[in-house]
Amino acid sequence: MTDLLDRPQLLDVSLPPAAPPIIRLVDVVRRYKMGSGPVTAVAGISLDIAAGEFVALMGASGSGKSSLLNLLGGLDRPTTGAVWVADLNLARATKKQLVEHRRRQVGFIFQSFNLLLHRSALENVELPLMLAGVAGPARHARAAALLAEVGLAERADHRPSQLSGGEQQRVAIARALANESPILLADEPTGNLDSTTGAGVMQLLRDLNRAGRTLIVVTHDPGVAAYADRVVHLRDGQILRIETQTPDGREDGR
Amino acid sequence: MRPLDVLATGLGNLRRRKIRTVLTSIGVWVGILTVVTMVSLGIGLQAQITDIIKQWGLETVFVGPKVPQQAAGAFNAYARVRPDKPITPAVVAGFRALPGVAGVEPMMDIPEGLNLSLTFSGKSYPFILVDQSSRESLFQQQVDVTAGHALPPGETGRGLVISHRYLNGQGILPAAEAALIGQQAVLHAETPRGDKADFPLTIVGIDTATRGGKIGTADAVGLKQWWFNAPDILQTDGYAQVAVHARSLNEASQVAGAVAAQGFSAQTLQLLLDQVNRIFLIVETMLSSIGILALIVASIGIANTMIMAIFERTREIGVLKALGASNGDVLKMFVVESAAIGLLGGVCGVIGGWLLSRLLDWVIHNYLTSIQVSIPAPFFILTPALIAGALTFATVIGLLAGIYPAARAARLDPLTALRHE
Repeated sequence: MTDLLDRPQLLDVSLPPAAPPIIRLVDVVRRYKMGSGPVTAVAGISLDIAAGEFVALMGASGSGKSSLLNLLGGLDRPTTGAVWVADLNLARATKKQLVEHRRRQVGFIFQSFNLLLHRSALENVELPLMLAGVAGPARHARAAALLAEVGLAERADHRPSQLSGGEQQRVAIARALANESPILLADEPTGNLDSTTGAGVMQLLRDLNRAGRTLIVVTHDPGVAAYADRVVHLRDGQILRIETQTPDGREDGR
Repeated sequence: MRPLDVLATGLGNLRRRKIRTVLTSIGVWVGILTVVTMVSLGIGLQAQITDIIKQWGLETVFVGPKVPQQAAGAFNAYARVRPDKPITPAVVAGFRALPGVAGVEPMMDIPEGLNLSLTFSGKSYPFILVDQSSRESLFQQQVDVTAGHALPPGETGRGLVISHRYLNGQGILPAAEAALIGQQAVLHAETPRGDKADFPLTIVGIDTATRGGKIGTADAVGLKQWWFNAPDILQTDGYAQVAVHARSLNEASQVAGAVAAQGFSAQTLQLLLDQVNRIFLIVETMLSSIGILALIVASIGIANTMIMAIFERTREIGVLKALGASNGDVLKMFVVESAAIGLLGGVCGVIGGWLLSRLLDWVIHNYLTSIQVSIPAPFFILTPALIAGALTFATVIGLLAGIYPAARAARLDPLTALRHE
């Protein structure tokens, strides 16, 4: 039995996606043991996401949207089911493969930015490069270029405490881009920002998506979801419905 | 992560908490200071004693006759303990013929219980004779001849060497000492029973020994023949001791073996030196165990600090893991941090230990000078090996103390860590 499971080609559900879907979720279930008994955060979700797509995961708190994002980021493993990201089933990946996945495939953007407070903006952007073993000079150059890309070239030496919320989130976005990961995972990226600043951040994310990166945003804000190609509505760990939309603010109206 | 980045990250984290780092490392530096001071004292004393033993000559084998067991307790002035196998002149000649032997010096002990006085320059003085083979105390400098020459060695050696201190004690001024060389003196010996005899002696030298004088082997034999009324004493009792000088250190142990095989007791200073070194190893271990106790306490402090630091930085660890830090990266970062605390304490401890030992050296030297004992300083010796060992030990202590907290940090679940406030 184990043998069969180890050879995914024999099982229909575990088949890796052919070409375009960069992400394929197959019957993903995630249960947690809590004090009061098991809690099912994700209750059987199957979903394909194409490379270059912008998907918003929407739902009330407890709907499983963040759990899903953590599964995609390789911070967590499903209880059952398969999470295929680029040719790797995260459900069966080794620890080392998960670390590589976090380094090379995905970039995280958090609601509370999660910048290291004792490091400058530049050093924060350098972090993923440092962890991936990139040498100092190459690291500086790349981080500086990324800060320029998010419009913070002047602020490179500032500590997070010297930056506004919007600026901090831009630093965090530059950090998520550092290792040229094809997938960006954002958990309520505008949750701690006022609407104007939030809109700026969403435009930046949308631009990055248009430049070719797959973008998955968890939000409960319809205004944020409006930027996405598809909105996946979740409730109680299951997909309620999927909306395909022509996002607002897209000049070409694709 | 590159090793250099691991190092920079760990040290950077320490810089963020300067006061806590310094306070935590104080435990280590007190421990290392104690270890360094104590062990350097041990090394210093060992060096002094080793030097003295080496001055006596490591290549010399001291040969004595074996004494029958029932007589072993009977060493008093009147006992004539006959050895099983006396070191007769023939035996001495045999030693001289052994391979690897450069020279042989038989010695005769001075009978105790004699009432001695010495007459020279027309005056008579009470006198003490010491054995030719007797040694000064361990911390005394080598005995030097200040006028004339040393006693001629060997069985034909005749003459008298008087100690400079004895002469001073008899009121003879140092300026008059040189004039005594070559003079004839008469040793008057008297037994408690009232037998008397005079022994003419030639004064050949003045030395820096602490008391009395020494006479050559041939004169000592004469004294003993009279004391026991035994003209053939060399055949029946033999010499008290023979210093057999080997050509080299290696040959000394061979000579000692050959002599022992003939049924004599053979001792080399190498054996004594080995014993001294073994004793000092124990002494140094005991002295440094106080410091090691302090280091164990310090390591608990380091572990505590690291657990606190990891608790405070839980969220940061979660972020690092989300950004692609492996468990190993996190482990290394924190182990570097705790090892650095240990090393910092070690460096401070070595510097502190050096300063303390210099201070103690100065205090002891001044005290000894004030009571007119001259012992060459230093008592405390910091060897490069001691310094390197202390630094390594301090670092390892820090490293070991950090392993458990760091392993906990490395195993943290990234999701749990990210949720940590």
